[in-house]
Amino acid sequence: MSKIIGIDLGTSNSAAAVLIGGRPTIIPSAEGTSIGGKAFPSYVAFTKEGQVLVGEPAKRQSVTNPDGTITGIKRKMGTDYKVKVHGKEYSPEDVSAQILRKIKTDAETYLADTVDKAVITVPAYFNDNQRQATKDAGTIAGLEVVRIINEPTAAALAFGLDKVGEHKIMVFDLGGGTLDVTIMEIGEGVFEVRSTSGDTQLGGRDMDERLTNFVLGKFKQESGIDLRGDSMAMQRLREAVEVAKIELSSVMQTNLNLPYITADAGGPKHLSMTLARSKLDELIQDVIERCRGPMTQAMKDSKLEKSDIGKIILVGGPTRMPVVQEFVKGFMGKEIERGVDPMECVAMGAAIQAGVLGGEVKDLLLLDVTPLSLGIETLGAVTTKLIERNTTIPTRKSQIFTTAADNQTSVEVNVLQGERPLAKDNVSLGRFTLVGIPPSPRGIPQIEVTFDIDANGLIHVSAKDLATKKEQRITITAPHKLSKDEIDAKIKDAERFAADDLKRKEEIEVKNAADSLVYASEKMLKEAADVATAEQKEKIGKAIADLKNAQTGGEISEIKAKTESLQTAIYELSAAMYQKAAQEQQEKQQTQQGAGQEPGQGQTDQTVDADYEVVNDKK
Amino acid sequence: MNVEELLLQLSSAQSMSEERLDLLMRCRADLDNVMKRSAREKEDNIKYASLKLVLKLLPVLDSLDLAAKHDEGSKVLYMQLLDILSGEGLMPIEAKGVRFDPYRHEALFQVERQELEEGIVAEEIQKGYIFNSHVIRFSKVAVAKR
Repeated sequence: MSKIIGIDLGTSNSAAAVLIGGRPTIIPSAEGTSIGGKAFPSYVAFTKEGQVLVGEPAKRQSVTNPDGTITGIKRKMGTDYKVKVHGKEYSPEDVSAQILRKIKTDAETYLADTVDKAVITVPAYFNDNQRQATKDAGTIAGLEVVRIINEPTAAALAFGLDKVGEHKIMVFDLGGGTLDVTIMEIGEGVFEVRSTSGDTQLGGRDMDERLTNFVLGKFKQESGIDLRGDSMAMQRLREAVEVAKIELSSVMQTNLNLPYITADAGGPKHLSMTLARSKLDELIQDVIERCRGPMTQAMKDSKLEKSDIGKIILVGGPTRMPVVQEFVKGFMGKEIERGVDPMECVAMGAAIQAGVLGGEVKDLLLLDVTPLSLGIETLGAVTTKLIERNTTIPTRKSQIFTTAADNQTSVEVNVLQGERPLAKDNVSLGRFTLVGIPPSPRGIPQIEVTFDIDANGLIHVSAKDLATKKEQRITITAPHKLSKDEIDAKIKDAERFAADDLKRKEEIEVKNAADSLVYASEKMLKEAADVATAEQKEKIGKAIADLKNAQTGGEISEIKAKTESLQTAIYELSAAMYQKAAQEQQEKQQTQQGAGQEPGQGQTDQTVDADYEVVNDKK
Repeated sequence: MNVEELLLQLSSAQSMSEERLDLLMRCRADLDNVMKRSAREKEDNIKYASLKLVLKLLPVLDSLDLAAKHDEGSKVLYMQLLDILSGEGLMPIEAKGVRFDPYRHEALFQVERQELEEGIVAEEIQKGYIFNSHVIRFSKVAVAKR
């Protein structure tokens, strides 16, 4: 069952994606997997030795083989143009086919499956000839092109804009060297292009150039040396400038450090300067200003007002820059859509379209996630999470709990929703009581609590006593339909209170630990009455009394200290017990082992719980 | 309900079950492949865990290499850092004097060199490196032409 892939066949870079588990995933190029580069440069080279290079390697050798290297062939699609290389003629379709074939091969490697169908994107302004040529290129590459779709349409699909009713959108696509502005209308899954405009000589490359020139100028001012003639220095500079530019999208200023960049009679020279985002913004202001014309034109041609536009999508690497986002926002007077990588969204949208055509995208497959964690209340009013937030449903999880007191015959299950560690800070969705647990010491009964969320989001919670098989269940039908804002607020709350909550949770844990230690110690004193010396008994008795005092006092550090001293006292006794057991064993030669291992003793150390105690984790 | 209606219901139920089975198989296949790929990626992640840091250290290595031309201390520092990074699997790419290879080198420009055959790397402008059999930075070179 081979998959249909989505391909963004670009002028300078191409990308491909495929739907995996209903999610569009970018296909890495074979070379790029280790460097993190995912795109396929749209370069094809025919070497003098008769070799064909595609993508990265073709780009890297282009200066040594300018006549044999072809790029930007997309601009020639649908024309009679022919490239002549080493005496042979190639049509734009032939050249594009080389790129598509490379993508096909790398996709097959990535998916470990054959790939013979694709959805390819083209600019909205492509005419029938250009579209047919793109389709033919696919055929030459051995790909059946099941659909050609517009790049802005693909971007809108990636942002899920086809699912939110009828509206008009603007797609602002600023790439390395071109700007495309498209105004579209979406309704009932139909995408209609109202107008397009653009500039074929405007993009990120202009911005890099501005910044490089600025750094060069400043260095010359400070040192009197022009680095332009020094290819080694220029190479280091260009790389550093690119890194700085990317960094300035997330921080307000960055440092450019290039020690030993050059040398003169006075010795080595170092380049070191601080670049502020505001400086970069200022340097590229006129590049950005040039976007205004095409945007105005597109609006005018669409015969729409700015207020008619419901959503704005940004596509292309340079749109990651805050100054570009601000510009578009300012021009349109409206927030832009966020959440999808602007470099990848066209390929991703093509993959979604491919999934629809391949029958992979159906309502049945639109899996939901639980927006908030679900759990139950346990000892000390703590929330014990069973299902973490963002878990894909349907899902099911069980965990075994136990009782917190001797002869406890019922447990109350309080079903909680939320991220906070303490029960009272979360929402209680419902509660029920499991009764009829046979009386037994605490920690012995095994109560299995199961959470089951079905595909419709209904939560079934059950508690079962594994000894008696008695079971009690509850179904929560409307698990608090929260709006997205409410969910976000809750998650933010959890982050904000994380430190406080943790402290309170720790305090409760200290109290619980003290509690169980007192219980265990008293039990042990009773059971080991014949082994313990009077001195030990007295010591432990005093330690227990001290700890109980501390517990009434409620001072956490005090409880902690007393817990520790009781623990030490108990260890002495248990050591004595083991010794005695070992002796007895030696005397009896064999018989039963581990007389010191009283039932129940092993579990008492790690009581965390509740109404119950976590015994094991069973999925 | 007559026979025809029942038959209709049956066939719609059948086609739905086929459709669902198809979807189930797709999901299973997806899951299986994702698991295989994630295992592979995990292996790679372990192998390339230090890659990110090594990449960031390359400019420092460049600077020390240049500084080494000026003083002895930097030369020792350069050797020390290179030693550590080689231990992690870093290896310089051979460039000057070998035939240009687009899979390891990136040509920045061409230079006329009568004494060299065309297509031979005449100058190394920036050292390239291989990290655990992957090129992590291509050698930036000038290529000879006649």
